[in-house]
Amino acid sequence: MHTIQIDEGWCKGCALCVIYCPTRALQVAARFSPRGVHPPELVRPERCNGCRLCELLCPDFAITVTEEGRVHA
Amino acid sequence: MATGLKIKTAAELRTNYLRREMFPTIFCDGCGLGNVLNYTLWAIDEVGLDLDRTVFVSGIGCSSRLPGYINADGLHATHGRALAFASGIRAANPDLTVIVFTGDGDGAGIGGNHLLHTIRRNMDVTVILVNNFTYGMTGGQSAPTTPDGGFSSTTPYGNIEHPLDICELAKALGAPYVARWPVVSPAQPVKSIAEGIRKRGFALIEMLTPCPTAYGRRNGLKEIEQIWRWYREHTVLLDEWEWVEQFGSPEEREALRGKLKIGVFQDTERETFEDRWAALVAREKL
Amino acid sequence: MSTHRELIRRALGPRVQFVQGDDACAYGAVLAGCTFFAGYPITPATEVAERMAEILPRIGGCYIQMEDEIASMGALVGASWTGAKVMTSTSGPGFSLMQENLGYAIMTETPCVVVNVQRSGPSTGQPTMGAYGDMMQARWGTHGDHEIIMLCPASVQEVLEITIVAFNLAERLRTPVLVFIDGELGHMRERLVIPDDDEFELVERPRATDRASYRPFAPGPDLVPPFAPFGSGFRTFVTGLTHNEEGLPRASSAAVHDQLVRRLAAKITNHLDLITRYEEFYADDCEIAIVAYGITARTCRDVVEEARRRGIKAGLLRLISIWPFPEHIVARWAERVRAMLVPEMNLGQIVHPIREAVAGRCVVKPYARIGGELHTPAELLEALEALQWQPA
Repeated sequence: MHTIQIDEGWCKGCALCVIYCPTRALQVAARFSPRGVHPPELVRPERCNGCRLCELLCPDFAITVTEEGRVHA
Repeated sequence: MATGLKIKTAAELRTNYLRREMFPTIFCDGCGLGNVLNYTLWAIDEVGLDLDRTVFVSGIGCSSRLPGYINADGLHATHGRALAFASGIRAANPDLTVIVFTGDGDGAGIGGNHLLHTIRRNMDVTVILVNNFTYGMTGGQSAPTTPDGGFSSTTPYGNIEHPLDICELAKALGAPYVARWPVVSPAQPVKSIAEGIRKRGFALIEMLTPCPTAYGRRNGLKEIEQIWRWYREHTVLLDEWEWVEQFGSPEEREALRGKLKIGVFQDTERETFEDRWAALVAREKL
Repeated sequence: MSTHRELIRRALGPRVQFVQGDDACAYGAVLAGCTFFAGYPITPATEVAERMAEILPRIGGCYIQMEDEIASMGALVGASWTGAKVMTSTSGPGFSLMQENLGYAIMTETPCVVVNVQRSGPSTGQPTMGAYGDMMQARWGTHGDHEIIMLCPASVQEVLEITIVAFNLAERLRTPVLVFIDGELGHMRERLVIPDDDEFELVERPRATDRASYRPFAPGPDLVPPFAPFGSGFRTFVTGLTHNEEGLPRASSAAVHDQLVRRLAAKITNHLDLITRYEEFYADDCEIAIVAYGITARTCRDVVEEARRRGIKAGLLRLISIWPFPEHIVARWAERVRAMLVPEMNLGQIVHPIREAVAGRCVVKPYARIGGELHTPAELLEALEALQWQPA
């Protein structure tokens, strides 16, 4: 199982991570981040296979995929 | 992944390479410049560059803001002149690695003459030229790369000028490494930037990058998903392009119109200015 | 193995030579420690580049001929940030092209020396003729508020000496320094004595030493920030945008801009004692003064002697540093003299700051000459004599 971490100070809500997620595990959150944008959220964690395409495609270095249980710096 | 990259996390890239106080970036939603930065850092990581010995040079424009985000020496120079500044650095200290970020306006418009002569001298610099078809920072005026008929604030009735193919120019000038990739898929750009850095001599990687704000919205590509899809649908790999040109049906050949060729166009060897200067000094020094 | 200084000596050749002003400029640069030259051919400055192209490889430096003067000035800044002492040379049209990157060097506190062997303008003008038409362009050529240092030597020997001074000031104050001569002086041959190393001072730019406390544009007490060259691990971001003391862009901040641009100006104007250079003849009892600079001042020296023989209490103030303008020196002369004659090889440029410094305390009479010929002693003498009858 994987989780994602979003730096809400850096995320601009462009949703490229959601658009390009090959397993459609992400979706745009209904809530607003403190910056006033809709950040992504991992709504179907069982689908996430940890491919990290979202990390590679994020223009803002705002999304990090981690395996559950692994402590992330 | 195809590049054989060891997967780094965004968090690691942030810690190792970024000036965090500069974030978030100034780039608009849906702009690909952040991706260019991301891919460059992956490539640097793959090559194992020492950031203490690497200088990032740029001119003026959106793409030229990139050095400011990297925790290394950076020279954010004047409009169009990045390659002149970079040449000075390399000529005076060839031990430093120099990576140049420039745009289509900066690098091929106002800076076109420097591009020509830096390639001619074969200065050992890696140039990541971000082509978004427009002058984004000033609000979307026509650029030397604006497609035929493209709308911009200074071509409100459509662009009547022929666009410049920067890679064809670089190829003709004998640049040892020339590649073009759209920013929409990460693997090939990362690999190409790494190859460009490793190349002894001038390397040009043209990154086709969406600008939804200044270009897209005037050309029916306002939505992020839509403009990013455009780049997938309007780029054709070199091999496929050549196959279609040779063997394709008239319909297939017609379908190439308005599309852009992508791939590695040139990968050769050529003596650099720095090597030749060093040889001259070895010969003539008292 | 010879030391670098020994290499320089061998590259420069005999101690006494008969050379042009342009040659002397190149020699001065090399003596000052210049190891990088970027340039573009232009009459009457080309010989500076030619000498540098000959000498630099012989001492292990680098000469690069750029595609234009814009690129020359850009390469100069890039090279200076590697820690090298750098110079370029040009003439009027090329100096016009350098203006934007010259401003960049001012804004980013990049030491460099820019030589302008002036010719007549505007535009292509008289390429082979001397002139001093770029004096005001030197002061205000690049856009925005700034101070600039400009030195005007008057002989081949002085070209060498002043070029060394220019490097020392550029390094000491981390700023571009302009050496302005003209086609006459650049192409004139005179006896040149190459000084020994113990006959002149060599200054290096202040260096940053501690990485932990390094803030690239935080000034020391003399307003000059310590320098860390590219590649030294200090990781400096350099931008022409208004930047804070960390070097990061703060282009929308009125306070940061005000503080930065005022400091850059004060860094120069606080060091007038280091910069100001002039020569005085018959200052004590002078009634009618000539204020001149560059090659024109040499004619004036003879004119003053001849005037004295004719009973006129003439004197000469020869300005060597022009910018920042030595207002206090000219003001001191204005207290004592009845009139100042200001011959210039332009239609009247430095006469303006002179009038400002004089502030009405004496008569100021410009004597303009353009076209490429020097003022004749006879015409200047006549002008001096005419000034005698000016009311006090």
